[in-house]
Amino acid sequence: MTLTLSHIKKTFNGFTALDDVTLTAPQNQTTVILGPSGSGKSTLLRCANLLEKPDSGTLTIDEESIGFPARLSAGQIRKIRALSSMVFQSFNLFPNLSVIDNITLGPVRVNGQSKQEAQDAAKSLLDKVGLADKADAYPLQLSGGQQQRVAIARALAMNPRYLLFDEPTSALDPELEHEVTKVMAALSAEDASLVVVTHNLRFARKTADKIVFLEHGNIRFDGPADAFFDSDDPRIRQFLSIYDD
Amino acid sequence: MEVWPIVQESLPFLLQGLWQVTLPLTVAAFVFGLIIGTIVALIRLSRSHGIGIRILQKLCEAYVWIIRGTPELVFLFVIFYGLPNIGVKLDQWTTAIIAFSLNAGAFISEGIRSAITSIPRGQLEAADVIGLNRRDQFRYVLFPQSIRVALPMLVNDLIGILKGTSLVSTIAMTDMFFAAQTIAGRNFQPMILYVTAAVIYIIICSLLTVIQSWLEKASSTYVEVQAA
Repeated sequence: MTLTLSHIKKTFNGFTALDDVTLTAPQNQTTVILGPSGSGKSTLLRCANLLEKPDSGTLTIDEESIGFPARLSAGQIRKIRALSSMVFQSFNLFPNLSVIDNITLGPVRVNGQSKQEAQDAAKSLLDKVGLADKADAYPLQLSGGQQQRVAIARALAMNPRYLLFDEPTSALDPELEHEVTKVMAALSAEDASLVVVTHNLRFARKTADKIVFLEHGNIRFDGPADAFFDSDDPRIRQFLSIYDD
Repeated sequence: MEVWPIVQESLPFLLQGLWQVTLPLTVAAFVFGLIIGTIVALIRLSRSHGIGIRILQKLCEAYVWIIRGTPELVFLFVIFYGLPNIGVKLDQWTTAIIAFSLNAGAFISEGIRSAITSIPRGQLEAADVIGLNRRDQFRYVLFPQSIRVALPMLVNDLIGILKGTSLVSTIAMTDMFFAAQTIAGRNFQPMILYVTAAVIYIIICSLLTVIQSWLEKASSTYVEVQAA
């Protein structure tokens, strides 16, 4: 069981964001996508749940597979999206809903859970991310780190096979960042299947099973995390050296 | 000259015009305008690429363009005095409701469109990721957030409709303004009559303004909490 994007090409108005990129994210592992800004990391991740549609290539999640270009029905798109859930850089909680309603909206409206069932599950998820006392708060009353942890709980509530993180800590200061990476590391330790786009090398070093390094829409490295941090590739050494200072 | 007796004497007729024409017409035009405006805004913002939707989008654009480019009075005359020429005869009420609803719909659609566009893209992406269908996205995410932004514009539109209804005096409907005109023509006291009518308009607009600030507060609780 894997999430695989193979030979993905994606251009935006003539700019090639992804040029024949292949990514495999095995189940129960943490795959971290690294690379400089503009290298196509987020675009690649967004192709995995069809927030972006590749120009060509294939997306395979577990038993579902789509070859692009494709005309997809709303139902097909929903089926693919149900297999993963995404945590965004800017949290994207619904500000008009309380924390608990943010988390239960999908389970109740999409997965058909009863309200009670969804609320019980949401409370235990909030407990898991350390925010049991914030169920009735509104997103704007929370710090960025708390909002992002609620967003993680909201993603988990959908019981996805894969959790996608799109620069989840880039909008946070170091302390709040730590709150969030702690939760992610705990998920990783429980063998959840994570695919993480990040600039946080410390998180990658501690948590990643597998690293993919993207540059200019191409894959520069794809392999075990240890091999990445020991790589002799001068470009990777240069990338790592900035953070090691 | 005694002002009060004249006001007292004419007030029942003005209020009758207000109650029987001005207010019901305003409410009808606003409700229909809101329905038309919401539908037009949603069509124009649709992300679907079907050919049917694209034709509808062009039609909606044309509708807003034509209505906004035509003075309400001209539009009213086209329907009431013009259409009979080509065999379409509508009574005063039907004419007024059609004219003011279509007029309101075009303006309201622009307000709703801008309110919806003001919602960050990430909100819809989050809703997409969760798997909410379009209807639920509108109901739980778009509507509650955009109504807060749209409220001041909607009340503006409502006030515009209220004042605009005075134009129906030109197709001989006895709204409040027509009543004032009629009485002024009889007792030669236009100053007193028109100022009285103006004051009544102001009072109603003031009430709407109070309701607006009350609704704004109610729809903004989730933003206000930040300060709490």
